[in-house]
Formats: sequence, structure tokens, C-alpha cells
Amino acid sequence: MLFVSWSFAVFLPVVFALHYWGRSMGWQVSVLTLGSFLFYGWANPKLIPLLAIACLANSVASVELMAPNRSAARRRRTLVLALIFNLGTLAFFKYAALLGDLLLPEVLWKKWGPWLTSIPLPVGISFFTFQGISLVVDAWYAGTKGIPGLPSPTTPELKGRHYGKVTFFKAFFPQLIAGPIVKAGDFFFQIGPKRFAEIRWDPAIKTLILGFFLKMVVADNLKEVTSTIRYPDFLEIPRINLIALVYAFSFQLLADFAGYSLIAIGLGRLFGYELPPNFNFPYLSRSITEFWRRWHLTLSSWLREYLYIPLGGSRRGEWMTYRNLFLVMFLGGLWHGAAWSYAAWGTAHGILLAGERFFLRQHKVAEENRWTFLGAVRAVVVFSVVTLLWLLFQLREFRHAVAYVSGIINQSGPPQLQALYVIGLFSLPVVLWHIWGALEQWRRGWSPERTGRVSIIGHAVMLFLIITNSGPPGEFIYFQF
Amino acid sequence: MSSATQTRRILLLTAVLCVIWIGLGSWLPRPELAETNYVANRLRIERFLLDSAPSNVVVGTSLSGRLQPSFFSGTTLASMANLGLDGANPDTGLTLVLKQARPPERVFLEVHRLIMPPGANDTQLLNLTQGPGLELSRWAALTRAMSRPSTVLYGWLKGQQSGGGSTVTPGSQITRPGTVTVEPDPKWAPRIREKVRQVEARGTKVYLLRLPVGRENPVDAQAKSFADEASMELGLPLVDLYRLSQAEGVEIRYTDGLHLTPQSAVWLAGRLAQAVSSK
Repeated sequence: MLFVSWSFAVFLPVVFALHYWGRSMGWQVSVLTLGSFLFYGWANPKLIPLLAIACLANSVASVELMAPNRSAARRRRTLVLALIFNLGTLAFFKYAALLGDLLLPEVLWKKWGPWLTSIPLPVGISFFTFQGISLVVDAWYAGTKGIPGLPSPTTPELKGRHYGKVTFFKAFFPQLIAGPIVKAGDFFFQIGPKRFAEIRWDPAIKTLILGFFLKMVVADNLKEVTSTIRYPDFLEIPRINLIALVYAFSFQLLADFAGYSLIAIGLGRLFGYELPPNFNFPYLSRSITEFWRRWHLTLSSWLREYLYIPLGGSRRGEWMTYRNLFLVMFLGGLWHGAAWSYAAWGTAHGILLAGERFFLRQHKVAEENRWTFLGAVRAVVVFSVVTLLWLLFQLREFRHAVAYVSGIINQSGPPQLQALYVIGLFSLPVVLWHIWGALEQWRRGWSPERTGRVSIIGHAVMLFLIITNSGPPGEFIYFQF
Repeated sequence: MSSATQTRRILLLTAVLCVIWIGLGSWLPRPELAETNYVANRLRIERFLLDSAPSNVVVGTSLSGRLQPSFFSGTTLASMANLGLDGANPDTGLTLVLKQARPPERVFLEVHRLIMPPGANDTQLLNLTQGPGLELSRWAALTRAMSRPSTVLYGWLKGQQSGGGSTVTPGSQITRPGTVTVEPDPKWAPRIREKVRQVEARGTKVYLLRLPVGRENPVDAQAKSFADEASMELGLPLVDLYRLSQAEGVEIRYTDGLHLTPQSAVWLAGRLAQAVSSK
């Protein structure tokens, strides 16, 4: 089910009413869990068993990892099996064709290839398997101490609750399909009875308005123009439009994904749960390192905690740090999809991160918090580099991306004003949103009344535009990852 | 300012903005054209299904989409709607004609691309008419494509650019059908024949319409040669504006090598009305 669909417009109030109708934690968690399964299986009910198995497997594993009287060997075996299960599920559904093409001898590939390439990609699998991995790893470290909100299952009652809570944690519909990727330690302590009177309406509604605005007004209206970034269509487009289109896609991608994340956070708040933020004005970044501290924060944090640090992080000398950065970004790229273009995208970011770290260390350049002219220039350069690399998301074949860049250099002709109008108009809100972010220091000097007034006007205008100026409805871009 | 107050004020201010926009709508020009294909198609579909039912309808692609209803004023086809949908199959237009509660007297079915299968764009357009969104637009004009601030602004800018609202080109040229390469549908004839029979069963006279086409591509070249064949196959009279323009030695002009200029579209609209009167 899509957040921007009529079925969701019916689903949400029904689940909301049922959730607050019962006052016990058991009722509320059950309503949200059942609602989440309905949400997930709405378009394709065949997916429900997959989610159920993933929930069950991770529940069993976390019970084993946190229960008392388990030997170290048994716990280690459980962790390994749980990791194999989660990674294996992801590998089977997402990377089987890529791995088969890479590893199978030609005879076998001819025989098995068609079947491997026909395996469907279940929506949200990259997100909920990562969440499963974080759960079992956190449960491994926590052991009998328990995770806040998820105590060691010492009694049958606690064990039963454990299953229920883990299933809810994995399936909670606002974050199920495209994140934010929630870590166990940030969620379980929030599970408890929720009261209608305790809903923080303002943050919830404002977040929802901004999220729906970014998705429905910005991303959906840019979709038609950016669909022309397609081989061979772009070969007929003049240079100025090609350049504008790359930036438009960059804005669309941010608006689409940040929009989704904000809707998820806003929905979480309506039900009394605080989900972690996923974006922090990423196109204000003055370095690639800063970009990854502002873009898809929960994935960056996951990669750092469960991959970069276990690999040694920056503790084993400079060259190992570069290697780890490179490796994490390469795998992070592949996480986005089973195609070499994603690996190339991740690798490019890895090289940039490592190169930047090397350069900044050599020249002892310190990060600055306040905005300077040089900082603004750096932000524009970083934004442009990041934007150019997004091309690999739209053009999966490397030669097509090269042809596009070559088109920017060679394809002359009069500008197509209609497309430029659409790009200019619907990119503007993202630019204004970032200016709003850049002026944070200055805004701190405002009185609460002034801040409130500006906020009310801004959100009312966005809601008005959602009603009047939405684009063609469609899936979120990150669903395909 | 308390938390709950802000939410209430946001909703109140939004309501005020909506009322102001509805008020402005009565004296702002209704947009005849749109910034994207999707919105241009929405404009046409909503006008056809939600406004007063027209007597005549042009059904087709962006090629016939240039035959703007206002170009027929003063002719025998003055009550005209246009379902020449950008990037769509004429099949979709016929489905929409069947959705109109009051059937039109005549349908002019563009012959170009009749042999192509419907695609994702057609599905999207039909979804648009199937959800509650269209019903909502019937009761709340604010949610219609003609009320989109970006479309109103675009229409106004284009009007300024060409010195008057009546001579601008409708529709959009962001994605051009000429660049789409899709295999023809071998079962086009039974598919279209079935739809045509349904339309005719409601008392509507259906004509095939061949327009002059600028830039040649394999599909359009095929369409030129197959117009007579389609007429025979479907048992429908053909209004051949391509041959007519050739016979009269009129030079037809195109904005982008494919779509008619307003001047040429006005001339062809007049000839279409004449041809129908004489039939």
C-alpha cells in the first residue's frame, strides 16, 4: 500500500481509531502489527509469509541470544545462523541473478539464468533485513542484560511478549518499506500503552505536511521531465536541458525519499512512536563526509555501526581506514540494487570519501560550522558532484551515463522552455527548504511568536499546494531498492 | 503558542487560501494548455467527463490534440471536446467516451497509432478516471487540473509569449510520441472494432480521421498507408485531411516537426467541419 493512495486514506483512520480504542499495550501492539501485515500484503498478499517468516526467525534468534543459561557456543551459532538467514534472504531475492551471472559457469548460467532473473524483489526487503541484522547483533551484545524495553525472556510470559514486540518492531508499517532503518535500542523502550490525549499533534501534522508536500508536489511533478533521462531519448535534448535535468533528478530523489521518511516519522508520531530522522539538508554539505552525515542518516549509521566499526573503522591506521571506507561504500552502493552501476556509484563515493580524508589531513583543513563564501562554493561543488553521480541511479548502463555526460558537452540547440519551467518551478521548494536550513543560526534569534507565525504560513501554503497542485501519483523511488 | 493551536491555525489558513483561490478562479483565465503531458491530459479528460457533455469528440493522440475545441467555433462542430491525449492510445479515448453518461453525436477517431498497443501511460490515465479522485474533482473544482496554480501560471505565461490565449499550442511536448519505439499490436483490429461497436451502440457516429503528419517515422509512415485499410477493416468512413491538404496544395506547418501549428490546426478544423457537413 502506498502512503499516497486512496486505500491508505481509508486504512489510516481505521487503524488509528482501532489503536486508540483499546487502551492496553497488548491491544495496541496487536492492532498495529495486524495493520502492518495488511499494509504490506495489500498489493501482493503472497509477500505476507515472507515477512512473517522474517519476523519469526529473528524473534527466535533474539530469544536465544538473550535467554539465560545459553552457552557461548550456542549463542555464537545462533548469531551466525541468524546473520546467514537475513543475508541469505537478501542475497536470494536481490542478488541471485547478479551472483549467478558472476559465479556460475556458462552452461549452468544458461540453464539457471532465466529462473534466477525471474525471482521477484519483495518490496522493502533491503530495509527489514537490515533491521533484522541490527536486532540480532544488538541482542548478541546485550545478552541477558536485555535491550531497553526488551528484557531477557526469563519467563514464558516474557518470551511471548518478546515474539510480539519483535514482530511489531520489524513490521511497524510507517517504516516497513523504505525506512528509516530503526535500531532495536531506539525502539523497544517506546513500546507501551499510548493515549489519544498524549498525541503531539503539531510535530506530527507538520512533519506529515512537509513529507506529503515533498512527495506529491515536488517529486511527483518532476517525475515526467526526469523520465526523459532515458537512453536514447536524451540524445535529442539540448545541453542546457540536460544540465537542468540532472539537477532536477537530484531534487526529485531527495524530495521523494525525504518525503517518504518524513511521512513515516509523522505517522509514527500519530501512533506515539518517535522514528529517527533520515535527512538533514544534505545538499548543504561542504564535503562528501558531511554529505553522508546528512543523507539517509539511518543507513549511514547502520553501515558505520554494523560494518565499518566491525571492520576496524579508523582504529587500524590510515590505509586500513581508507580501505574500510572504500569497502563500506562499495557494499552500500550494492545495497541499493543488484547492478554494477550501483556498485560504481558506491565505489565513486568511497574513493571521494577516502580522497577527501587524505586531502583534508594533508592540508590540516578543519570543518567550519558557520557559512563563508568559500564554504558556499564548496557546498555547490559537493552538490554538483553528488548530483552527477545520481545519474548512475537513472542510467543503469555505464555507457549510457557516459553518453549523457558527452551530450552535456556536445549537444547544442535551443533550450526546451517548457521542461525548464517545470524543473525551475518544482525544484524551487527544495532550494528554499535548504535555504531555511542554512539560516538556522539566524533563525535562532527569532522570537517564538515569529517562528510560530512563519511555520504556520509555510505549512498552510504547503497544504494548499498538496490539495491543488499534486503531480501524478506513483511509487516511491526507494521502493525499488 | 501552544502545540495544538498551530495545527488548528494551519488548517484554518489553508481553508482561507482555498477560498481565496476559488474566488480568484472566477476571473483568472481557464488554462487551455499545461506544463506536462499528464496535466494536459487531465485537463482534457476532466473537461470531457465533468463539464457539459459535448456533441462531438476528437479521440486520438497529441497529434489530434492540437485540434483545440475553440478552433471549431462558428462551424457545424462548435460543440467539440478533445480527447487527443499526449502519449496515449486512441483506445483510451474510446474507453473515456464510453464513460460519458450522455453519448456524443460524433466521434472522430484518429487513425495514427491505432495499430499500437495501449501502454503504461494509458493505464495511468484510466486509473485517473477510476479512483475517487475524479468524483472529488466533480464536487471540488479546486482539485481539478485547471485549478493548479502551476498550470494557471504556465497558461498565462504562454499566452503572454504568443500575444493571446487563442493561438497557443495546447498540450505538452516534454515526452514526444515520435521517439517511442513500440511494436504494433497484431490484434489491433478486433480490439478497436469491439470498442467502436460499443460506442456506436449508444447512437454515436464514428469517423476515422487522418491528419497530415510532419516528421516521418516508421509508425506514422505505416499509419499513412494503412488508413484506407483501417477504414475497410473497421467499416468506418474516413475523413482524410491529409489527402485534402495535398489536393488543395496547402502547406501544413508543425511546431516541432510533428505537431500542428495553431494556424494549420485552425485550417484543418474548418475542413473537418466542412467534410462532415458534406457527408
